[in-house]
Amino acid sequence: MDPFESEAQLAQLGALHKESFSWALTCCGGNWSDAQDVLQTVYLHILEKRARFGGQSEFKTWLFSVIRNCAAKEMRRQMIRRVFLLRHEDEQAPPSGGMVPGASLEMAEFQNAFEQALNKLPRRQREVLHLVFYEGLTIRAAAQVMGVSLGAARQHYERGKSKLREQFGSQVEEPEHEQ
Amino acid sequence: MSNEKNEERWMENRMQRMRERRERSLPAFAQVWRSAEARRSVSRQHIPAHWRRLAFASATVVFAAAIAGYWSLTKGQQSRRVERDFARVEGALLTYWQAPTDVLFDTVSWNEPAEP
Repeated sequence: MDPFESEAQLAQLGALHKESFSWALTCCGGNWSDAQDVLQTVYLHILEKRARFGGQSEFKTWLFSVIRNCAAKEMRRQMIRRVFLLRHEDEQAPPSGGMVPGASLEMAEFQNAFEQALNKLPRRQREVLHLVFYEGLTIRAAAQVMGVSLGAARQHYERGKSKLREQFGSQVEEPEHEQ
Repeated sequence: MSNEKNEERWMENRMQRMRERRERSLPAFAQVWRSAEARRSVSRQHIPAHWRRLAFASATVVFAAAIAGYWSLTKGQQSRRVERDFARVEGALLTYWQAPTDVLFDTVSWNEPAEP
């Protein structure tokens, strides 16, 4: 990388690292080690200039698209490996972050159930919900990251929400009291 | 409308909790970046080996093609030489051959059908 480009990009990558990792985690269906591999591959592509920021969109949108594409490629590769080698690898659960101080055991279990339900959603539904509620992007920006039309993104968003609503029922509609 | 708002707030809260949990065990940027750099240097070291393998394979293919070409050329030349020799011998036989006797002509009658 050119010194100027590398320093500016490195600073941006560093600033977005947490969000990037979380996004990679969502793209990999919650598998911690896959997410780490994907993020490493993304950084490698940037280092080798195989992925270049052209300036047509925001840096974050571009980075998230690269992560999404790398994760999709990795998932495809794993699927092919599983089909041809007939090897079933157990999904690695993310290391538990433990309990949030002050949160009850019941709340922690509920949170686990929520995260599992989220990871079981179809890929695009999971992605749009993550981008909108976790990253705070608009549906339009989420559509740009996902490389789908605004209408399609909206549809995935609604379907994902309704699936979670079905699973968690009344708890979704009741205003939540902070603990 | 109010339900929708509640739903969105609920979702944001869940995601916020998820963020808090995840961020406590995320690997540091420097760690992931260093791993990527290590992978890059490893892949750079592997490039010459890869090229060596490719060069060896190409050389083998070229060598095999050369041998096959040489073999087919010599084979063609040899068969042409054999053909020429045969032609020479055949020509000589046709020129100098004489029937030792006329007995065969005496026994064959041209008006009767030849016996099977």
